Amino acid sequence: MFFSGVQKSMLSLRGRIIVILILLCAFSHAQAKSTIKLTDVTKETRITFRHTDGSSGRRYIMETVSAGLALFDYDDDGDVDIYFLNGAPLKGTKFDELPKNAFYRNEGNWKFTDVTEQSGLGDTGYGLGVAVADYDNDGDLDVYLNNYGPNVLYRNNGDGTFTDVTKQAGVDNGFQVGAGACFLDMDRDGDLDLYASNYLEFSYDIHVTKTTMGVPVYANPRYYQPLPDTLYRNNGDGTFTDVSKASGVGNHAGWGMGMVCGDYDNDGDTDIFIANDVAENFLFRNDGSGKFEEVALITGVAYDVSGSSQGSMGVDCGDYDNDGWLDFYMTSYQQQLTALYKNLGNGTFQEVNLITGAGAGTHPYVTWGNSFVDFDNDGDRDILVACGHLQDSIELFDDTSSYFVRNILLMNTGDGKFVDVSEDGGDGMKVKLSSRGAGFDDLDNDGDIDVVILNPRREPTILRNDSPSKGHWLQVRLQGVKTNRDGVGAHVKVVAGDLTLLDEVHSGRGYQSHYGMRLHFGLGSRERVDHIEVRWVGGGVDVFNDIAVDQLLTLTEGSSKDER
Amino acid sequence: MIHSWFKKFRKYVGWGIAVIFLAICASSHTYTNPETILTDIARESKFNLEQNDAPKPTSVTFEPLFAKPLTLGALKEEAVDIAVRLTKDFPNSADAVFQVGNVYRNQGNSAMAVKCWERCLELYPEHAEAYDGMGRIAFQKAEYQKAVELWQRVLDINPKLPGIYNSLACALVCLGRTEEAVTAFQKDIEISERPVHSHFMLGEQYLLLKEYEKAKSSYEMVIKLQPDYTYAYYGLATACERLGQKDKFKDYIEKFKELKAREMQALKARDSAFDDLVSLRQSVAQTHTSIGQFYYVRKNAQKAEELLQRAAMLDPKNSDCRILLASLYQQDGRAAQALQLYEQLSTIKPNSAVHHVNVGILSMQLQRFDNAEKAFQRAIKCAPKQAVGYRELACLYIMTDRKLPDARKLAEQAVTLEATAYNYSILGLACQMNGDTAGAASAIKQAVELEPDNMKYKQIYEQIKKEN
Repeated sequence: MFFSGVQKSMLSLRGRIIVILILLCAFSHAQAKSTIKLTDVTKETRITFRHTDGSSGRRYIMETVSAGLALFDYDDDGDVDIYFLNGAPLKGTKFDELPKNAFYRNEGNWKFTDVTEQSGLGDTGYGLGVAVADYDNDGDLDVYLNNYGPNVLYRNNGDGTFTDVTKQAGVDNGFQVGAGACFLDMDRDGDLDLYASNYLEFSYDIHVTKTTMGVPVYANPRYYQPLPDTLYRNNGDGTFTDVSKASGVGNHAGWGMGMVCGDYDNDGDTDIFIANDVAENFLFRNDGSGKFEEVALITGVAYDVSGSSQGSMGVDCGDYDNDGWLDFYMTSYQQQLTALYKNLGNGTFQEVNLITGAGAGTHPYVTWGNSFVDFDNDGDRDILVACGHLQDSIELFDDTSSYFVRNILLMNTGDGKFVDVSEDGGDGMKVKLSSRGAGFDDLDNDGDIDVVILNPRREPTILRNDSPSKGHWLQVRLQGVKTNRDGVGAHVKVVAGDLTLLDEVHSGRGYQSHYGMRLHFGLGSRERVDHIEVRWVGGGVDVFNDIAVDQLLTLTEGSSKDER
Repeated sequence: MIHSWFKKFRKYVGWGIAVIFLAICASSHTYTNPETILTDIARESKFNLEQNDAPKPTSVTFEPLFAKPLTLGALKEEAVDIAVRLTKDFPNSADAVFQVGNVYRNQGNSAMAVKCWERCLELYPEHAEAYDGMGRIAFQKAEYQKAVELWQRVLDINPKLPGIYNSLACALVCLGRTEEAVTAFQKDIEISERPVHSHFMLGEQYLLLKEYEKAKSSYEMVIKLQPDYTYAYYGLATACERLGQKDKFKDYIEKFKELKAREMQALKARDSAFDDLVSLRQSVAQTHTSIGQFYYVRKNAQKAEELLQRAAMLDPKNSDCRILLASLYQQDGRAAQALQLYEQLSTIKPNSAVHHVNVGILSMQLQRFDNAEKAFQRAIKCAPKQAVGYRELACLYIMTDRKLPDARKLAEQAVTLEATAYNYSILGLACQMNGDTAGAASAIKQAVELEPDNMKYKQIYEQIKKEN
C-alpha cells in the first residue's frame, strides 16, 4: 500500500524498476475527444456532510484508509439515496459531538435531505466499509458496516428507519480494522451470506510511528500482522454463523481492503476477489456449496503482470470488452499501475494494462474507488478512478506526487482500449481532493450514471453525468422470489442486435463501497433489446424478449414466459 | 628493519636483483576494484579537462562545517549547505550545480532538482547525467514522452552510458510503443555488462506480443544471470501456461512462491530495521562523498579530507568515502591512517579480497608483518581463484626471509591463476631465494617474454644469468 521509505524508491530507478516499469503504463496520452462530461453539482445538492477521520496527529493507520460509501434506494421510492461513512474519535482525539455516518434521502432533481437521525443510520463507529442487501428477504435493503471496532448490521424496518440487529444476528466480527464487505449467496440457498474483509491486526499498543526524511508518515501495513477474513453463513432466521474456517477463506491471512464478489468462471456460483494490500490478492473460487479454494496465483490475479505485489486498494467487476466474461479492475499505490485483469474465459486472467491503456495517468497517484461504468451509453464500459495520496505530507518528501489530486476518467474506445479523457471530462474532473470510496448510480433517473465520491476530512464530490451524446440505455432491477430478493449474484445478459452485454448484481464493491444494484446497460444506437437473460443464483434462467430501451425495468424471478 | 632485510635478500639474489626487486615492490600500489570510485575520479578528471574552462576554486573555506547536531532537519540542511558551498567555490562548474540538484532530488524536492539541472545544462549543454536525472523525474511523474526525449538526448551525448537504453525502453513501454521498447532493451543487452533487467523486460514485452517462446528464452537468460530473480519465475510460469506446458508451469510457480515468501520476509525485516535517521545519514554521507570527490579531483585535498571524514563518521558502512580517503592519505604519505581505513573496509566488506590485500600491503609498508600475513591469508580465503593474494603473500615471505618454500608455492599458484609478467617475476625471485637458479631464470624469462619492453625484468634476467 504505502512505504515509509519512499526516498529509497526515488534514489534508485534500477532498484525499483521492476515495480515501476511494469506498473507504469499509460498506453496513450493522446487526448481523444471525450464523449463523457461530468459536472460538479456538490453544492447544488445541499449535502453538508464533511468526513472526519478522527485523527489527532498520531497517524493511526485507519485514518488514512477511510472510507467507503453506499448508494441504494432505502425507501423503494425509485430514487437512489446516499450513505456516507464517517470516522470516529481515535485515541487522543476529542469531539464535542460524536461524528456519525450521514444518510441523505434523494428528493429528486439533485436535492437531498439529511435523514440520518430519522433513519437511525447515524452510526458512531469508525466507518470503513459498507455493503447493502436484503439479508432477510423482507423486501427492503439492509446495511452492514465494516468498522474499526465492532461491525454493525442495520435491518431496514420498511418504514424509513433501521434497527441495529448486530447482536441478534451475531455479525459484530469482534474488534477489528474492517475494510470491504459483501453480501453474497455463497451456497445458493436463497439467502444472502456475508463476507467481511479484515485489514490488519491493530491496537494502540502496537501502533507504529514512522518518519521519512524527518516527516511523520503513516506506517505501511507490513508493520502489522495480516488477518484472515470473516465469512458468515445466513441461517435463514435472521442469524448468521461464522463459517470462515469451514469455508476455507479463514485459512488465508491477508491485508484485505476492497473486495467484490462475482461469478468469474460462469459456473453459476459466486466467487470472491479480495484486493490485499502489499501482498498477493485472493480469488476464492466457489465449489457451488460455499466451500472456497484460493486460486489467485494460478489464475493470474494475485499480482501485477510482472509478479509484483501491489498496494491493492479497491476492485470492481465488469465485462469491459463485452466478451461475456467478467473482468476485474483493481486500484493501487503510487508508482504502481492499476490492474485490469482480463478474463480469458478458461479460468485464467491476463493483466492487460500495458496493452489497453487502462492504467493511463494512474502511475503517480494512489488510487482507490473505481468502477466499470458506461458513462456515455455507447455500449462499452468506461472507468473512473478516485485518486488521492494517503500520506497527507507527501509533498514534503516526494513532490512528484501530491495529496490532493484530480480523479481519472478513462474512456473505453470500443475496441478493448482506453484513453485518458480526464482533461476533457467536464469540470467534475477538475476537482482536486484526496478521494477514497466512490459510488456510481443514476441519481437523477435520466438514464446515465452519476458519481459520488467520499473525500476524507472534506466534503464529498458529487458529479452529474452531462455527457452530450448519449446512446440508448436500459436499467434492470431484479426481484428474486425463490432466490435472494435483490438478485445479488445473478447474471444479466442483454442482447441488442450485434451487442451483447453482461453484468452481475453485486452487494459491496469498489473501494469498500456499495452501489449499482440497478444494473445499467448502455446500448449506443440500438433501439430495441432483443432479449434479456437472467441467470439467478441457485435458481433457474429467465428470458425476457423484445424490450423497449430507455427505461428502468424490474424483472421478477419466474415471470418470463421463457423460464428455463 | 628494511636495511637488515635488504642485506639478507641481497645475499640470496645479489645486489642487482635486490635493487630491482625493491623497485618493483616499491612501485606496487594498493589495489582497487575497477568499479570503485577511483575509476569515477579518473573519468571525472578526463571530463573536467574536456570542459572549455576548467574552473579553479576562487575561495577555500575552512571554517567548521559540521557544528550542527545530528538531527534529521540539521542533516538535510547540511547536505544542501555543502552543495551550495561547492557552487560558491566553483561558480562556473556545471558539475557543482549538478551536485546541488542531486541533493534536492535525494530530499524529494524534484522541482528544485530540475531547476539545478537546467542551470547545469546552461553551463554545459552536454551534461548527460543532468538529462538522465531529469528523465527519471519525468518518468516518476508519468511524463513518459518527455522522459523519452530526455533519455534520447543522453544517448546522443553518450550512447554507451550504462542503463540509459533500459530507462528509455521502460518509458516506451509506458507509452505503449512495445516494438520500439523491444529494440531499446535489445540495445541495452548488447552494451551492458549484466543486463538482467533488460532481459526480464524483454520477456515481458514478448509475453504481450504473444511470442511465448521468445519470452521464455528471455526469462531463462535472466535466471542464468541471476538464479534468484524472483519475477523471472513468474514470467516463465506465465509463458509456460500460455504454451500449455502445465508441468513446467507448476514447477516455476512453486519456485516463484518460494522466492516470493523469502522476499516478503526480507521486506518485513527491512521495514523493522528502517531507521529514518540512519537512512538520512547514509544519504548525506553519500553527498559528502560525491562532493568530497569533487574537491579531490580538483586538488583541494584539505576540503576533500574534511568532507570524506564527515562521510565516514555519518555512515560507518560507507566504503566509497573510505576508499577515497585512504587514497588521499596514501598520497600524503599517511600510511597508518590509510591502513586504518582499509581495515575498516575489510570489515565492511569482508568478502572483498581487494581490501584485505590493501591492508596487507600497507601493513608491510609499516612493517607490521604479522598483520600483513593475516591480511593476505584472508584475501586468499576470499578469492582463492585470484592471484593477487598468493602473490602478495609470496612477496611478504620473500621480503621477510621467512617460509621461503611456501613463498615459492604461493608464487607458483599465482602464476597458475594469472600468468602475468609480474607474477612470473615474483616466482623467479622466490625460486632464487630457494636456491633454484634454473627455475628463477625460467620464470624471469617468461616475464621478459610477456613484457619485452619492461627493462626491470630484462635486468633481473641478465643479473640472474650473470650471477649464476
